[in-house]
Amino acid sequence: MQTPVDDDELVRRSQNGELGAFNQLVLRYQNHVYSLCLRLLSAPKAAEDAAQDAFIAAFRGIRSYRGGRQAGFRAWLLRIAANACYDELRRRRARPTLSLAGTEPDQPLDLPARGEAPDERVQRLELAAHLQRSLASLPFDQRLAVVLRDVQGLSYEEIAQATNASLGTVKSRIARGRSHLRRLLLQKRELLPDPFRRIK
Amino acid sequence: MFGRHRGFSHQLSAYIDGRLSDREGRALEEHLATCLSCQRELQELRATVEALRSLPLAEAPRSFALRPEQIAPRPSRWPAPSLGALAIPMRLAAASLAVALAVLVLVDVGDWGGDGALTPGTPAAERATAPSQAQDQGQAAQAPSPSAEGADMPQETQPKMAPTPEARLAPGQEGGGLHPLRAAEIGLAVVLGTLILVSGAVVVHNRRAIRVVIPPKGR
Repeated sequence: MQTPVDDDELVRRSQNGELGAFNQLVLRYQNHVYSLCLRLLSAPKAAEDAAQDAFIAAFRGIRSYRGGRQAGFRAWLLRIAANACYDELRRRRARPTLSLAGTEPDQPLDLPARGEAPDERVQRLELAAHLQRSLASLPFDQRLAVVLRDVQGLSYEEIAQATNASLGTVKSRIARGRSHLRRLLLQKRELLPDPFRRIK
Repeated sequence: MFGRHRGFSHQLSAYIDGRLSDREGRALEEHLATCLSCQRELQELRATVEALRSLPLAEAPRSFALRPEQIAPRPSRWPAPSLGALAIPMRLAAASLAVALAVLVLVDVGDWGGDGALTPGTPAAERATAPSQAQDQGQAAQAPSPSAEGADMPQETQPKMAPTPEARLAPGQEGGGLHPLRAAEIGLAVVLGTLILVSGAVVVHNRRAIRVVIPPKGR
């Protein structure tokens, strides 16, 4: 069985212009990148465009990647993806015909979990849709920080690198974002997991 | 009291992530033991984080692997090879201009700075020899001379050495127009600045034209 090549080796070869090596990185991280774009933009088609733009930008800029002391290639890539999403939002704001609102159906953004009962699935999808709407109501910087922390599972240090912000700013953005989401989720308390429904 | 409670409330998110210092954590826990409002907020925040973490990583609807045509250098109004060829001559020209400008500035500083301010039209070489001429003339005055006025000769040369205030050049008092030396300096500086900007643009353009190695088929 072949040992997977580590990120640093693939990055080094990509920096020499080897497209095949870069595409291995693409396949390794495309779910992370697309998922981030989807959570930030709430629109599958726009997320697809932003993810593709992000990978193109990453290949063009890979020579500038120096590796991180605390965060690695994934944080660097997610930073580029966040920038691509921001550009996509600006582009759509500048051209209202491309606006994200109303142009795409409110599709469920989740995959069915194995062994899940139909009513559980419905409830989970409702919660996911409500969370997505709540996320969309956050300011972009808070939304990005919360998604990177709670959906992508990045550390505070990685988020600081991915968003080019200080640790204090990251902590504050996550706290404010979660606090705002908490208030919105309480409006749909019945959708929360069982132990939390009883919070009074 | 309310301010202190608010401070603790703001720390709850970091507390969930274990991002408080030991001292901050202990203080918050002491507060939580007695504050029902913060206890409830902490529970709700935990529920929020739990709900967010339950969102699965979305699967990419297709492969985003790049094709060579997607990463081809972007079309430019100026073709890259000709710009690349221009880079070295432009750097040489910029270096030459910088040297010329430095020489001009040095000459200018020598002319107008300090007590040695001379009339604008005095050539530099002539000015450089002026003091030694005066000295020579002074020495000549000590030697036997057919004229007794020889002793006054240094004084006669003084007006050349220390011009009247009208003759002394000050910025903006150059007698109706830009001095040729200053004009040359400004001109050179403008050309040099433009050249540096264009050279910078060429360097950026060339770096973007990344060399792409396409893997052989079947790899």
